[in-house]
Amino acid sequence: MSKISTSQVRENVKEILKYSNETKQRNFLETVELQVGLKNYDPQRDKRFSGSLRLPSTPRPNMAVCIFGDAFDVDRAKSIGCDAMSVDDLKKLNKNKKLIKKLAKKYTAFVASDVLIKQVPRLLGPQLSKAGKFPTPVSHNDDLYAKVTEVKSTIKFQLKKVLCLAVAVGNVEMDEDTLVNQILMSVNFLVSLLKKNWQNVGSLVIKSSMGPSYRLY
Amino acid sequence: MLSEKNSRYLYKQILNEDLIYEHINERYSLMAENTETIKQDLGIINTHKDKIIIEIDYVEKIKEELQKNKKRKKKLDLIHKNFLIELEQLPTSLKSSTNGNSTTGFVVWQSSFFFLNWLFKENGNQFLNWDEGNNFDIIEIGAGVNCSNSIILSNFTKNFYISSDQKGILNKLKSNCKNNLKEIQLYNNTIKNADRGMETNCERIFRSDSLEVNLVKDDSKEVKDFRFEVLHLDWCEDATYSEFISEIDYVNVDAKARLTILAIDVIYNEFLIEPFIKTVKRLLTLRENSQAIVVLQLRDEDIIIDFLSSCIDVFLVEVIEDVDTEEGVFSRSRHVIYKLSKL
Repeated sequence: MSKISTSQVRENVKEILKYSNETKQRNFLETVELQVGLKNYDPQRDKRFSGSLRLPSTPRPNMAVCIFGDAFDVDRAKSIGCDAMSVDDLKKLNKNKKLIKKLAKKYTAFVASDVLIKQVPRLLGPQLSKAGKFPTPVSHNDDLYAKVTEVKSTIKFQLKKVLCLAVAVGNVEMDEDTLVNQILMSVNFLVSLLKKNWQNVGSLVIKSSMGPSYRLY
Repeated sequence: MLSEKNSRYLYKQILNEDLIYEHINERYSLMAENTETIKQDLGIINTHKDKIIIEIDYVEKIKEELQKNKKRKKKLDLIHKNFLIELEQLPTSLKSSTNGNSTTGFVVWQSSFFFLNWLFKENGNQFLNWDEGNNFDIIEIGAGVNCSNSIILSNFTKNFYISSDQKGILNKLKSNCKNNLKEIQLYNNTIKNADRGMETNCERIFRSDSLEVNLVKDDSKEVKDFRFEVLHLDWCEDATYSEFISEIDYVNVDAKARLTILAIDVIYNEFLIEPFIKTVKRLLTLRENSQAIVVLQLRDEDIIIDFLSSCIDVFLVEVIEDVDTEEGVFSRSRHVIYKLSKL
């Protein structure tokens, strides 16, 4: 059973939206982040969870995605206004660590033509994998725009060596209902990943990029 | 055995760092693609129930030799079997924070059933050469309370199946084994023995000293006995290894049978890697013909990368992959099977 109620989340969401859309508007689209503090978890002894969830709305519509494509997919990427790199572009990086690190930093996620998936580490070396950025494959039969949207809408919860983590679950342009739903879905999914479910949750906080934080749990 | 040419699976050697990243990139990319269809959880079968019932279907192929007009003909009969395993687990111990040891072994994890299903539903047993009448024995490390591997695979191993884990887990593992001994059908497997070219009425003696079943107290070595043991081996504590080895002095009774070290979902933290490799390296020396099969659930990629990077210096590392990734078993799961053998 969930330990946070919809009305409680709704109240906090109202405050976030009021602050970001009325009190202090910013010149960029603020993201709403869910910050999690875990307890009774020993990352040195317990199995570390890792799970991805596709949210109904894209938390970060402006997320930078790059497509590693064959000629067909590079053309498709251009038509949907998405950055793309061909095999030749990747070869030009010449496995240069600095350049590839820069590439991994510039984009939040990558999509690659399915025929190129195996070639990506050969062309770029281990840097992308080290950054945990594994390209999602796309085939010529897939709708590229839908695939990019899917990648943008998917959030990942993964426990590393520390007991805190944060994920983008929405933005301040979303309406109240959508944001509440995104937060509740994310919280319930996270709790389902935990060994002791709610017993492992120390704190749950939501906040917009530049706004104050609101504790849910 | 199916030749690799005709199989749905193949071994791909992981020889260097580049191939590790290629393999990790491919598997995690496929997982990203199949987020909607792959179960997204920690990998525990059920955290609420104390008792779990597992059913594994298996089709046994029996070759019958028919003599007609002095011409020998072979007929293949299929017998549908069903292994039904009742497992008791301790979800409350999993949640206990006071236990200094790892508590992961107190519950039953999915990786084991991924492996068993792969073996029996997806022809993995033929790929590993683990089907009827084959010549292999198993030592399982980090079994947890789950006895399904030991009970089911004891029907196929030749001389023994040894399960092992930390001391705190052994009582529950032993009681689960005892409750499911009926699923070991070794006592009357005369047909299987016939297929191996042995005497048809030669039933093997089943014994398990650790479970006190058909205990042989005079320590006499039976030629055709089958050992089923549950022993203490905490591979993070070096001292337990020599004690473990002293209890399995019968390992070399049939040195020709391949010794397999089976480890399922036991690598999930960096600190486990070094003692695991040390233990497996030592166990592989017990027989000339030996290998380790490591089944893992793909969670934190850094740990898998660290594990493989440490292994390639010590073992020949191979990963089992689908030939056809579109319809593959591994490609659509978050599990992976590695084979480690001596360099």
